[in-house]
Amino acid sequence: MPKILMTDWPPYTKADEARREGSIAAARLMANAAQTAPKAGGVDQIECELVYGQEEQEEIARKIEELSKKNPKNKMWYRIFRTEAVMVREADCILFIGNNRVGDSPLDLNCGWCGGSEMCGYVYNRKANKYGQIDLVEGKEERGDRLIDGPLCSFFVSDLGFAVGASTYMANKLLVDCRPLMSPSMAAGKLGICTNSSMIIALPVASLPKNPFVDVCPDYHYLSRDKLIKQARKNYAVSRQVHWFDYRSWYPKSEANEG
Amino acid sequence: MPNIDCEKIIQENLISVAGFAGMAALKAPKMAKTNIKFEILTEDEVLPLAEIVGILGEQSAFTAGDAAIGKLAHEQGSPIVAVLIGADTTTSDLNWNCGACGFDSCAEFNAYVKKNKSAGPYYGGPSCNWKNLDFGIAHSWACAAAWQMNVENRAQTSYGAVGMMLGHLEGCNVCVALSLGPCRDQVWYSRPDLKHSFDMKEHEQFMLSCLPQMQVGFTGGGYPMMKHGPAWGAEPKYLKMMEDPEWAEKHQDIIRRVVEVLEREKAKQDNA
Repeated sequence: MPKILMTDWPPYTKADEARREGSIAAARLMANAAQTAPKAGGVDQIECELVYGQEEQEEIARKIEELSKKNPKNKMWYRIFRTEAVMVREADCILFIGNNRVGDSPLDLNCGWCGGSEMCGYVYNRKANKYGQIDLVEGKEERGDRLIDGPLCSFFVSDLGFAVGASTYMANKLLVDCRPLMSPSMAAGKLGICTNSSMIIALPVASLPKNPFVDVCPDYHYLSRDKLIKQARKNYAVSRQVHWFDYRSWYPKSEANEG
Repeated sequence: MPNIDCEKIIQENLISVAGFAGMAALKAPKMAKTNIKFEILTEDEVLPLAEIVGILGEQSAFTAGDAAIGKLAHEQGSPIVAVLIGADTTTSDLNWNCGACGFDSCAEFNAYVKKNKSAGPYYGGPSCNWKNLDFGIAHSWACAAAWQMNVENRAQTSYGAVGMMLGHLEGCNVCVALSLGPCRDQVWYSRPDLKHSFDMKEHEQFMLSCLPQMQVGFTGGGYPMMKHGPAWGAEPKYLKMMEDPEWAEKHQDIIRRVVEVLEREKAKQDNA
C-alpha cells in the first residue's frame, strides 16, 4: 500500500522532501496570487521565480553573507543579513517576486509619487532614454554598483507590494510560514534571479514545527541550527571517548547496580 | 413585518468589513516598518470625493467610471463605504543605501527630499521605494480581507488622491481608496450600471487614440496610412502629433472647478 511519510528531520531525507513538496505547492499558489493581485491599470509586470534545494539555497545564503559587509556604516545591516542568511538556509523554498516594469517601463501617469512636482521626469531625467523608452544599459556606470538600479516608478513599486501582499496573504490562508525578507531580496538582483526585474522581493516559505522567521536569537551564531548540530556532533564524538569502556566486560559502578 | 432591516444591516456590515480591511492593512507584513493609516468614509462623506472625481473624469475615462458608480450607488440608497489607506513614504529611516530612489545613500535622498518635497497631480514625492512597497503590501491585505468576506471592492487611486486633496489622512503623501459595496455582483468590474454610457463611434475614437498600432497600415513606405474603414486605401488618412489648445483649456477649467469644490468643502469644515 503506497504511503507518504513526512517529517521535518533529518533535513533533505525522503520524508523531509515529501514535507517540503507541500511548501513548494503552497509557494506555487502564492505565485499565482501575486499574478492576480490588483495592479495599476491591470498591467502585466510581475515575474516569479521559485528556488529550492540545498545547494540552491546555500548559494543565496552565501551571497547574503557576502553582501552583509556592503554597508559598514549601518551596524544593523550586518546583523540583519547574517540572521536572514540562516533563515534562507532553513526555509523549505524561496519565492522571488520581481517587477519587470519598475526600472524601465513606468506607468507614465505623471502622478508625482516618485518625484513630486517633477512627475515622471524624476525617473526619465535620471536614466538614459530615447523615444520614450528607458535604456538601463546607457549610463549604468555613472549610477554605480547599487543594490537596486533606481530611480524606479513608485506606482509600480507599490504594485509589487500588492503582489507581495496577495502572496503573503495566500501563505497566511494556507497556514505556511512566510515573511518578506530584505537581504535575500537584495541578493536576488546580484544572482540573476527574476532577471528582468529591477526590484525583487524574496519570500522564504516553511512548514516546520517552529516558524524559522520569528522568535530568533539576538546573535546568528546561536540561531544557526547548522552550527548547533556541527558543534553537537563534534562534542558527541569527543565526549564518548573520554571514559574508556569495554561494554562486553563490565559496567561502571553505581548505586543502582550495587543494590 | 420582519424585525431586521436587511438594507440597514448591509450598510452596517459594510462598515464592519471596512474596519476589518483597515485592520488587515495594519497587520500586513512590513519590510520597512512603514506607518500605515486609514480612515473610513460613509454615506454623505463620500459625495464630495465623488463630485471631484467626476470633474477630473471629464478628461479621464478610468476616473469618470469611478465617479459615476459612486454617485449612482448613493442615489440608489446603497452608498459605498470608502476605506482611505495612506502612508507617509517621503523619508527613509532605513539607512539601507540600496539606490532604489536614485541616490547612493538614504542620507543623500533625505537631504534631497528636504529641499524638493512637493506635490504631484495625485501624490507627493520623492519617496522611498521600500516604504512604497510596504504601502502596497498593506493595501493588498486590505483588499484580500474584503474579498474574503465576499464584499464587492476595488482599489482606486481616484478616490484616494481626492481624499487627500480634501484633507483626509493628514501627513500622508499617498492614499489609495478601497471602495466597498454596493453588495451586488459586479459593481466595480464590467460596471453593468454604466451601460449605454458610450457609443461605438466614441469607443473607436478612444481605441484609435490609445492603440493606434491596431490601425496602422503598411509601414514600409515610411508614412503609413491609417486603416480608418474599408476604403482606407482609396481615402488616405494619416496620424500626426499636434497641440490641442481646446483640450488644454478644458484641463485648466477642470482644475479651476476642482479648486472651487475644495474651497467650498474647506469652508464647510471651518464653519462646522
